[in-house]
Amino acid sequence: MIVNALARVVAALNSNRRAGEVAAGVSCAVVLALMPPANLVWVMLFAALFFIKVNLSIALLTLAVLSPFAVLTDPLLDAVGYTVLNAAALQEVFIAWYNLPIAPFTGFNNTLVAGGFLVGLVLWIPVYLLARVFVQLYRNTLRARIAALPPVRWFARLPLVQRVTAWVRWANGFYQRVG
Amino acid sequence: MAGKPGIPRLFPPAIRKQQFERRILKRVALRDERAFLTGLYQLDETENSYRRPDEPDQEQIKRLRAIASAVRHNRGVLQPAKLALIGVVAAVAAAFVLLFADALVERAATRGLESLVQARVEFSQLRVRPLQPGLSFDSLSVANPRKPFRNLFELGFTEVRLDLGQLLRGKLLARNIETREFRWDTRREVSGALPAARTVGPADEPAAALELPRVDQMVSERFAEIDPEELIRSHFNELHTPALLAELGEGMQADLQRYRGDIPQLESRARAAAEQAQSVSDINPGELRSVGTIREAYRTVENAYAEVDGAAAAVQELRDRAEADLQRYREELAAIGELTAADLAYLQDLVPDFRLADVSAIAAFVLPELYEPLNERYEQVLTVWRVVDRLRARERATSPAYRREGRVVEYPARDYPRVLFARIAFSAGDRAARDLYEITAAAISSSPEIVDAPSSVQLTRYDEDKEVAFSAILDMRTGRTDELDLASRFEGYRFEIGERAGMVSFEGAEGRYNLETKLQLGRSSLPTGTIRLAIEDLQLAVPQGDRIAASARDILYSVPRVTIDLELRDGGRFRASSNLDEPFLAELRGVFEERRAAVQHRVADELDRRLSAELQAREQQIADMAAYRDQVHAYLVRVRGHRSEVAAVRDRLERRTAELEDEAERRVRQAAEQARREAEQRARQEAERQIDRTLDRFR
Repeated sequence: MIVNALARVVAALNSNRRAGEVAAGVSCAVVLALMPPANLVWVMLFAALFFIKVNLSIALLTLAVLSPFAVLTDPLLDAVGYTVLNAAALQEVFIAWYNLPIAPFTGFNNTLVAGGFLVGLVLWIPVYLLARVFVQLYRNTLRARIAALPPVRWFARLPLVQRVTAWVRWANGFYQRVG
Repeated sequence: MAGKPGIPRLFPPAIRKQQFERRILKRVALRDERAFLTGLYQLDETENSYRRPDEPDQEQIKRLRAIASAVRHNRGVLQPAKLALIGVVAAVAAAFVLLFADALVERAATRGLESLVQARVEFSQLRVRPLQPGLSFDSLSVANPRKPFRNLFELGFTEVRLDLGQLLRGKLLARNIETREFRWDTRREVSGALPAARTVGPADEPAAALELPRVDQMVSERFAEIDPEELIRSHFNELHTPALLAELGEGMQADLQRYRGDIPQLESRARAAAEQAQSVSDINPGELRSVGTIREAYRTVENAYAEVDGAAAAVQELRDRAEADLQRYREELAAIGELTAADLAYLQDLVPDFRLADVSAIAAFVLPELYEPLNERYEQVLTVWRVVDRLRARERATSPAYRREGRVVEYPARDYPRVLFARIAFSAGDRAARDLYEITAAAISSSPEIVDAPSSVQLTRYDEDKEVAFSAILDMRTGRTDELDLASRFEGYRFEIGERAGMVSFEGAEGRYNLETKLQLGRSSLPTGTIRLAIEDLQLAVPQGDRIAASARDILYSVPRVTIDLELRDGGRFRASSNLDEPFLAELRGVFEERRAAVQHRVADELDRRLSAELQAREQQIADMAAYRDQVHAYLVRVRGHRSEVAAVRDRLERRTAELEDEAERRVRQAAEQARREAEQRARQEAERQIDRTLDRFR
């Protein structure tokens, strides 16, 4: 599964897809990782990954990698969320939201949900830009250099790797045709 | 036109410059692919378009297809195909829900209620209204978890309107529930017990049953025939008389044994005394002429006397000891009478007295008939109590379940509990015609703290001359002492009881009763309350010759209304009283005292029978001891006789000695007188000579 995920990430990086699609996948994953799950906001954001053109493989892998470390940011997120949720200027808005029918399921009045969402939104653009630059750098420069490295060439010639690569290529083509 | 077959339509031989650059080239992400396209197409400045000078080969066509696919993919930010797919899936799901919502909701409601009640719940024809949120069902039956073949209650057609806004907030808020039929405690054809797989959590602990005062049993036990033999046998070790009699018997037996050992000694002593007396009887003092002979005889007699006197003293000592023993035993036997009286009093005290403090005999007479229905209602209350407690437990368990929890900031809002039935109403019949059945429940919720009002249920039932009013207020808000406050009133109910044996036996009873109950169940879960039962028009058929039953009937007939008050204390224990307790107890007491006196008399007889044999044995021992004493006394008389004989010889010897001494004294005195006279004669003659000489000199 890990090999498959890595192969799909490599395929995504090398495929003829916009760099922004991969970068958006990373940014969305950062937002989701910062928020605690099991609330409607998180579920809707997660569902949105399937409807908008972001690279799902990159997003899921990034989410899986970041989620265990997200707890380290909890004190910061809690402080941000608490500050925002208690901001006097926003009280009327929050009270109105709180009395909306679906509100209890969103958990927006939870400090970690609010803090994670807000910090995620703030981080979304820089992360997106950085990821996009990285993808373009990889495609324009790094890919050729990496591919030219002797260990990589040796590795790429292994029968098992060739078989996996062929399978990933087929899967990627199928995914692109379906998607 | 795409030209050569296989070339994607996106790549015709000529493409306008703006279209090529903005809609194709810009959407190719890889630099190599962009270079391939710009190599394949050349800009024609005159036509302001890109043209493909040569037909692509198969490899180029394949590459163009991949690029065309990527261009299509890289267009826009949404994935319309997936959105459409999800839309279709959602539509199918919605259709499924619409088609099967009734069954799904029925199943969910059934399982939810079953987990609360821990018994089967059955809906009939449950229908869900999605547009105007709510549901209705033709009937609902909820089984009694304690009695699988009874229902706690059944509802007829019922309509529930739910608040959509609160429903979307996850709250089940029904402002009004109307039902057309209500029945409780109905019979079931099939068991209402849940299969083990569907039970949630451990089964309910059986509730402690009510403890009614079992006066009937207490009195019956006290009236039971008492066997004096068994009473004495079981308490024999605690009596003093038998122990003392045994002790006396053993003492006298030992003394008599010792006495028997003394008899040979007494015989030998008497014989020795007789021999001593015989040995000195031959001495004749008159024949003794010299003092020396007399003195020798006197010593012999004195020695014999000493021996006989010693024997007499020894026998007397034995006699005195026998007399003292006999006296002591007689005194102790005489004291047995008092001891026996004390023992008898002790045994008679063991015969139960008529003490029925804190209970009501009248209540005991009636309560056995009430016990089953009262206990059943008590269990129903506890069952409802458990259901409410489970509902509250669920409310408490609804805190956010985030693993990363954070803090929840609360805002002012009209909050509702997870489940709230604001009003449930059922009404049938006509009050004026006294045929009414009306039930109203309000504020039935999973969290009274949020509703800030107690839950309440009111029931009113008129049926001709009968009336039932029931009110329950369940206040589970924090700080409330009595959480459940139940009040009920049953008026005009008739009862009929068949034959019954017991403290008061009767062949049949009938009458009319009113029942009022008030029950409070606090946080300690121990119920307290009162029950007042008023019986009117009582008709009692009693057996012929049953004095207690006849007296009870007379007493019951002496008042127009018999009232019985029950006070339920903590722990399900009742204290009962009635307006006829005193006369009824007095009657019972009279009968009981007669029976007690008879039993006490029998106990006295039995004790006397048991002790008389022992007393006779002791009397016989006393007689034996008296005989021994008499025998010793006879020996004493004999020895004393011998001692008198020896003493007489001694006296005679003493008299003879005195005679001889008198004679000797007389002779001495005569000799002395003679000597005195001779001396006087000589002195006179000497004096006369002296005088004569003197005279002679003067002359």
